[in-house]
Amino acid sequence: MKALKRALKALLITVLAYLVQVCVMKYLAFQGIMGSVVFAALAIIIVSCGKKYAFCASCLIGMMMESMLSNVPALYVIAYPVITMLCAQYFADMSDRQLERRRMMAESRKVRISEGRGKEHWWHRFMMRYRETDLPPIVRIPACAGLMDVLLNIVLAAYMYLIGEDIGWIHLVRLAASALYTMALSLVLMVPVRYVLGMYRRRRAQEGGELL
Amino acid sequence: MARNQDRQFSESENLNARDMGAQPPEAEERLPAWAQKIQTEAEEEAPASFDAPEEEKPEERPEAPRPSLEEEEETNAPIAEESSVFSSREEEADQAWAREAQRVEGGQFRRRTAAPDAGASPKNSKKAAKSRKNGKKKDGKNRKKKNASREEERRSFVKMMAIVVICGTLFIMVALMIVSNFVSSPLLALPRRLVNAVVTPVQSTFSTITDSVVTYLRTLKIRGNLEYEYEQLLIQLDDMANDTARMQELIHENAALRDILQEQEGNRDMNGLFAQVIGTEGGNYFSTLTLNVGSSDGVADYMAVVDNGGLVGVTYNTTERSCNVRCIINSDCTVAGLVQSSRDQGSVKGTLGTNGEPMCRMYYLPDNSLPRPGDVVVTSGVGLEFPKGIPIGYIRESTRGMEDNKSYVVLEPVVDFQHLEYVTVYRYRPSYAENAQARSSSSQSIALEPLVTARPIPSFEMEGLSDFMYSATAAPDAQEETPAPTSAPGITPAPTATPDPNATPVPDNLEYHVADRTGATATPSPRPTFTPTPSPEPTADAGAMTVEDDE
Repeated sequence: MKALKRALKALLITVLAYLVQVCVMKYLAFQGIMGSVVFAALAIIIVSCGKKYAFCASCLIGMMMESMLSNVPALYVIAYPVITMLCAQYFADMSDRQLERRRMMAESRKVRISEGRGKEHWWHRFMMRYRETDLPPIVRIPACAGLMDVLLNIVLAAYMYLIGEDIGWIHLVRLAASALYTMALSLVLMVPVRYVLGMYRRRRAQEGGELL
Repeated sequence: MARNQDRQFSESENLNARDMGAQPPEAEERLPAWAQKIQTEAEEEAPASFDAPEEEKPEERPEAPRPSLEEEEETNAPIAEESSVFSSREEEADQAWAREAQRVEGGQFRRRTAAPDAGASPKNSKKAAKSRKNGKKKDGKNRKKKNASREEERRSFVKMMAIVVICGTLFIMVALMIVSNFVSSPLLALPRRLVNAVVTPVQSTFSTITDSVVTYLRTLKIRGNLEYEYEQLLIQLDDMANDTARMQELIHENAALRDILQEQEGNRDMNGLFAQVIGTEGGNYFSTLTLNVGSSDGVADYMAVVDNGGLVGVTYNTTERSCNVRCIINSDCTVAGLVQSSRDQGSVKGTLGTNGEPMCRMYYLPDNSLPRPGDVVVTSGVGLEFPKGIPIGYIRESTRGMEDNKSYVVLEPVVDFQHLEYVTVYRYRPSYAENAQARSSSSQSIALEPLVTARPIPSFEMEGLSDFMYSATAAPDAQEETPAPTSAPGITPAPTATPDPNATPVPDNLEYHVADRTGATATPSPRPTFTPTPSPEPTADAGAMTVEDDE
C-alpha cells in the first residue's frame, strides 16, 4: 500500500511537471530561455525513488511530449527515457552491494596510501569511483537535472545542425543558460517534492530509531 | 567528520533500496541485501540463536526479559540441534556468507550471529532442558512468523511483478509510438491516441487555470502600479499639453507666415516686406503699431501695411530700424477708397477716437450712391501712394449717418486689429508715368459711328481723353474716286520718349491681388450677417384681375 501510494505520488509529480512545463514555463521564460521543470522532476525522482520510477516517469513524459508537442518524429519519446536512464546510472543511489564494494575499495586504498603507494587528491571526494558513499542529494539533483538538460539540448542542436543551421556561440550560451535555469529550478523544487515523497519523514524516523 | 555526515545522509537516501520495514544497517556493519535477507530469515526462525542488537529485536516481544548470553547459548544450542530445518538454513547462510566473505577481500564482513554452541558443557544440561521447554512454547510463534515471512515474500513477488508489468507496458507503448512514426497503422497509433485523449482535457483545464491565474496576477500587478502609472500619465499629459500648445502655436505661426508669403508672392511687384509687430498701443482713442523694420529695410513714411488680405494702416515716424503704423481705425487716418461693386469713390476714416468703436466710416460718397451691405471697399490709389485694390472693409449698413452735415456709411475693417502679429509692408511707389499709363489703360475708348445713310457722312473716333483721331469715311460709291491721303512731306513726326533701361518694367495689372487665406487667425472675429431686404414679389391674385370684354 505504501509502495502504491508512493508510486501515485511519483505519477502525480510527473504529470504536474509536464503540465507546468507546457503551460506555465512560457510565462517564466528569462530572456527567451525556458528552464526544464520536467528534467528537474526527473532528477528528483532519480535520486529519491530510484531507476525504476525514473524509467516509468521518463516514459510517461516522453509519450506525453510526443503526443502533444511533437516537432521531430519520435524524438522526445526516445530522448527522454534514454537520457534519464543514462543519468540514472550515475546519479541514482548505489545498491548495498555497490556501497560495500566501494567501502572496501576505499579501505584498501587507504592502506595503499598509508604504505606510500598512492596519493589522495581533493577531487577524489567528488568522483564516484573514489567515494565510499553517494554524494548528498543537494549536489546530485541539480547536477543530474543540468546534465539531462545539456544532453537534450545537445541532441536538439545536433538536429538543428543536421538540417542546415549553423551552430555558434549563441547556441552554447543558450545551452548553458538553460542548464543553469534547470539546475536552479531543481534546487527550488527539491525540498517540496521530496517532502511529498516522504523522504524527510523517513530520515527523521531513521534518526529517531524508528521507521514508519 | 564530513565524510561521516555524507555517509549518514546517503544512508537516508538508501531507504528505498532497502524497502519499507527493513532495518537500517549500522555504518560499520553494512550487509548486502542478500545477506540481510538470509539473516532476517534466520532470526525469524531462531531468534534466540543470534546475538542481535537490542534495537533490531522484533517489536512483538519488547516486554520479554532479555536472557543473558550464557542462557542464550544454552537455549540456542538445543534448539539448533532439534530444528533440522533451521540448522540446515543457517548452515546454508553461513556457507554463503563464508563464500561471499572470501570473495570480497578475505572476509571483511562480520557476521553478527553468535558462534555455535561448541563450548556447551554437560553442566548446563538442566538449563538446556528447561529452555527446551520454553522453545517448544515459542515454536508456535515462530511458525506464525514464518507464515508472515512467506506472506512478505509473496508481496515482494507481487510487487516485482507489478513493476515488471508497468515497465513492460510503458516500454511497449514507447516502442509502439516510435514505430508509429514510420509505419502508419491504426493499431500502432493507438498509444498516441490514448495519451492524447487522456492528456488533452487535463492539459486544457490546466492551461485555462494557468491563464486565469496569470491574468489575475497581471491585474494585481497593474493595480499595484496604478498610482505610479497615474502619476506618470499625469506628467506625460502635462508634457503633451505643452507640446500641443507649442505645436498649435507653431501651426498658427506657420499658417500666418504662409499667408503672408502667399500674399507677397501674389503681389511680387509691390515689393512687400515681412515685418513683425513688436509693439501695440491699443488705447481707447488711438491704435498704433510698432514694426521691426525701418528705413534701412527700404521702408518710408506713408507706405501701406497689409495683413490677412486687408489694409492695416499707413507707416509713419520711420526710423532706421523701426517704424510706426497708424491704423485705419484711428480718427486721424484717412484713406481714399472706393466701393468695389459700384466703383463709387470716397474717403475712409477711422472711428476709434469718435465713438470708441474699431470701425471706419466712408465719407463723400455720391448722393445717388446706395451701397449694399457686404460690399467691399478697397483702396482707390488716389492720394496716398497706395497700391490700388487693397481691401479695407465691408459695408456694414446701407443707411447713411450724418456728421457735421456729412453723410457716411459704416465700414467694418477686414483686419482683426486685436490679433496682429505679422504684417506686410508694401514698399510700392508708383511713378507718375505709371500713374498716367494706369489712367490711360483704365479709361474707356469712345467710338462714334454714323448711321448708315445714302450719303457719306464723316465719322469721328475718340481714343481716350488725350488722343483724338479724326478720320473721314467715304461714301461707298465714291470710294474709288477719292484718292488716298498722303502724308505731308514737310511734317516731321514728333519724337517719342526713350524708355529708361533701368526702370522697372511696369506690370500690366497694378492692382492688389487678394490671396487665398489658410485661416491663420486664432479666433475669427464674428462678422454680422447682412441680409438684403427682399424686394416685394408681385402679387398674382386671380380674383383681383379684370378681364376686358371685347364686346
